[in-house]
Amino acid sequence: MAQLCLYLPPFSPDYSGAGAMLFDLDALTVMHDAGGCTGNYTGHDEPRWYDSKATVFCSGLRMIDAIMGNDQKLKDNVYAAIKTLNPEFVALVGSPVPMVIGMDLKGLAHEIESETGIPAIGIETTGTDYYDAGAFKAAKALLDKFCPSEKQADRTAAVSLNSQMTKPDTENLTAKSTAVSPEIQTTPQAATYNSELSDTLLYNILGATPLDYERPEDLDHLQDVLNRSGFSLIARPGYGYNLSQLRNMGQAHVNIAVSHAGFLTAKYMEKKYGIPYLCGVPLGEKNLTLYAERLKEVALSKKSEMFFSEPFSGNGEKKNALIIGDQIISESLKHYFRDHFNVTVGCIFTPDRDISSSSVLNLKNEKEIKKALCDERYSVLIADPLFEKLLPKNHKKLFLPLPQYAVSGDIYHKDAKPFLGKYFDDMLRNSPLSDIAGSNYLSSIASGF
Amino acid sequence: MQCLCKGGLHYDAPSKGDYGICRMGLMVPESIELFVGPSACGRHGALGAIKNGYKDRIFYLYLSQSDIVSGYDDLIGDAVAEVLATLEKKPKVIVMIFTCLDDLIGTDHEALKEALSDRFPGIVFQSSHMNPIKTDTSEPPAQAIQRDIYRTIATDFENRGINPADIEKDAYVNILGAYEPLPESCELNRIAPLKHVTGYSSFSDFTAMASSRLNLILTPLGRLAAKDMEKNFHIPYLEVPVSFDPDEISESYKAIAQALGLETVPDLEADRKAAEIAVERARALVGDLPVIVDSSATYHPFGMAKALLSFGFNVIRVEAEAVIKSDEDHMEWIRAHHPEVEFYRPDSCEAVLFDHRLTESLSIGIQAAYMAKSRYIADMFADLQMFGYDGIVSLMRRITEAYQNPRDLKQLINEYGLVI
Repeated sequence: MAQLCLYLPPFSPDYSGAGAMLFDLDALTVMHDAGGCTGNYTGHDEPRWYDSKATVFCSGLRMIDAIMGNDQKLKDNVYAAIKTLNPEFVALVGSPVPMVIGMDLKGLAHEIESETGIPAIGIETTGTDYYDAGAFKAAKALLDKFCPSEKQADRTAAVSLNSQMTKPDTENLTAKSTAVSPEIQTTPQAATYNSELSDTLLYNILGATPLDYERPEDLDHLQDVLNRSGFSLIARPGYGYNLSQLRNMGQAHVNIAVSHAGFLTAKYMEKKYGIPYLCGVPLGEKNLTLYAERLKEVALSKKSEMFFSEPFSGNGEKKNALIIGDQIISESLKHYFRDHFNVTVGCIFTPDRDISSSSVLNLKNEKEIKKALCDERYSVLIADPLFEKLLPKNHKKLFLPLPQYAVSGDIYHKDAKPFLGKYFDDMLRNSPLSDIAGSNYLSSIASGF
Repeated sequence: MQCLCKGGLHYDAPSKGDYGICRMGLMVPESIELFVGPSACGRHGALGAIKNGYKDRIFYLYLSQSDIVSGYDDLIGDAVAEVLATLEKKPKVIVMIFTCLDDLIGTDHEALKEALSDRFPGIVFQSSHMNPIKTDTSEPPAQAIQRDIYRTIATDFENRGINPADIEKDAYVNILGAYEPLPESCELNRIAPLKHVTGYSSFSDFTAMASSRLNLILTPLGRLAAKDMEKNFHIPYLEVPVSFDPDEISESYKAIAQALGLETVPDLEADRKAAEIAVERARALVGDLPVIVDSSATYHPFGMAKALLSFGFNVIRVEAEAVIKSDEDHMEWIRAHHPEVEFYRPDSCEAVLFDHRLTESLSIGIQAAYMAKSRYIADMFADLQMFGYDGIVSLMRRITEAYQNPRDLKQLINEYGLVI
């Protein structure tokens, strides 16, 4: 259904999520569009773009090629770029026009791989979904290509061998790597799971992109805390990783999902590799130890859990709060404030029924977002600062601004602060809640302000 | 030396972009915009609008996949009604911006505008496109939106039963294809009074641009608009590209005088002399410092480079995403007379190798500055406020300021508020 939007900008689209997931890798990333879509991603959704050497390009799709179905032009341009840049693999990322003309990007990627010997993936983003869906599509495509499960590894190795035997006239195109790493072919994952867990538990951080975590300190802090608690990171796709780490992701004992894109990826990895996950993020210093303990439990029990799954105390006297943003981060915030607020989460991106939670509003359009924000029941609001513009100018609500790149891009760049773990305590002390902050500020919140 | 023919994958440096279609469409006084397309397509325009302070004039109708499949014409009327209900003041014009996919769907825009005009009398509806997919056609989007700005006047006349042939011409000359009006210091103001779209706060006053005696096209962006205005309002046009070559400028003024029916070419020797003095001072200041010229600063980068080389500046590189026809002779002149000058495409896939760094350089244009990491950056974009001998003086002033007060490039890009 069409949506009318009067005040807010469109949120980050799926192809930006895919781009963020590919950004760190030595990929020839080609956004198949006329120009504006790539500009959206590089200019407004990728804070790492300035001064980076990421090889992200626009295909320069033109009318005549779209109408005539001239895929050869795209392929020729990709081949020319491969000769210049010698990437480890090629990623074709979709946009609205390829969607409208029914372009088969996966098939095209297969052709490119067959003709060059260089791995290629097609990510069928459309510009009509949100970044979380696109980040997952990219993560899934990357895992399927570079981190096959045990049975797939054997099959892909055979395919890879065949493709090299039938390599066409592309001698100048040198593949840096084959589709399957030696490590994966020996399937160490199987060995790991057949033995007792070692002292060090291997894990991945899933769904971490600047669209949810603009400041890298968040992930560094989380990684640091977990590493000191006996864990060892394999990869954090989307935020500081490489292809070698990606290839090893299937060896993890446990995954953590730090966003909705991460949750989708964690579910997929559980199904594909049997890796359990802990979904949610720790907020506040006091939750860091608990988080590490819960992660260890998940790894040992091999039973996935939501970090925010503890039952809430039903205290009708508490103030009502509305949190809008990524659903996993919002649920984690809800968990943090559980003793102090009756929290409702407003889902504005891709809704997910697998996130079992009470009090979730699926806010499908601006009108619903505005209605929820203005709802008198909610006296506390936690959301990107842009949402405050939907409130009356003289509103009396307490608004905790939490800038999110997927909503407001770099508009509040200077205000963006890290917020995971210990940083959340700092954020609260320096927020509109500071009036009631102190040694036991959360108790003060509970008693009213 | 690179081939500057278009082709290959495109690299979008952070310095790439321009005003954007939405910002240009909103130059129509008392207008608002309704953007119709997938939500993704509107993000850069909306964030740009928030940063540049005009978001309260752009509204969005996001299309889902099912809307695209089943057609969306019927959704627009209700969306317009809802937008109007939120506005304190009714707009005179609603510019509807459609995206690339609309070109593949075949929306009947004439029927759409007719239906909207019937439902909302007194409002001029204009269908426009933000469709880079048509960049290499006879209707590139940046030219088409400039044309559409003035088409709103034709539609208004049609709605009010005004015959353009009955409109008496005045003494004014329209400036087309420039985002901003020329400064008062420009000598062109002394030859004829000038009109520019940004000079009007009411749509009613803006329609006076249909009464002008001549259209001057300063950049390629104004070409379609001029042809359309000749057809709709019987205004002749003359293309006088922004140039920094005194002889070319002199020829432009001769052509303008002829088009205006002046018996003699105005005496502009003092202006030319002032330009020559400015050139001497700037050249003496920067000496042999390598200079890079790029197409973000001017639509004729080879023309600017030729002029600077003739002035004695040490131009070492010209960067352009493409060579427009009116700049080809300049490029050939450089090839013949200064083969040491490098031609470079900042949007080629090789650009990401960043093997053209030259920190000790002065870049005219932010694209060149980004690629070279130049210490000195002349603040100049899209030939803004440039024309004639005054344009040379202005260019020299910017070169001087760049040398004396180095700017932070990231901040400069941010100030431009560009979108792709």
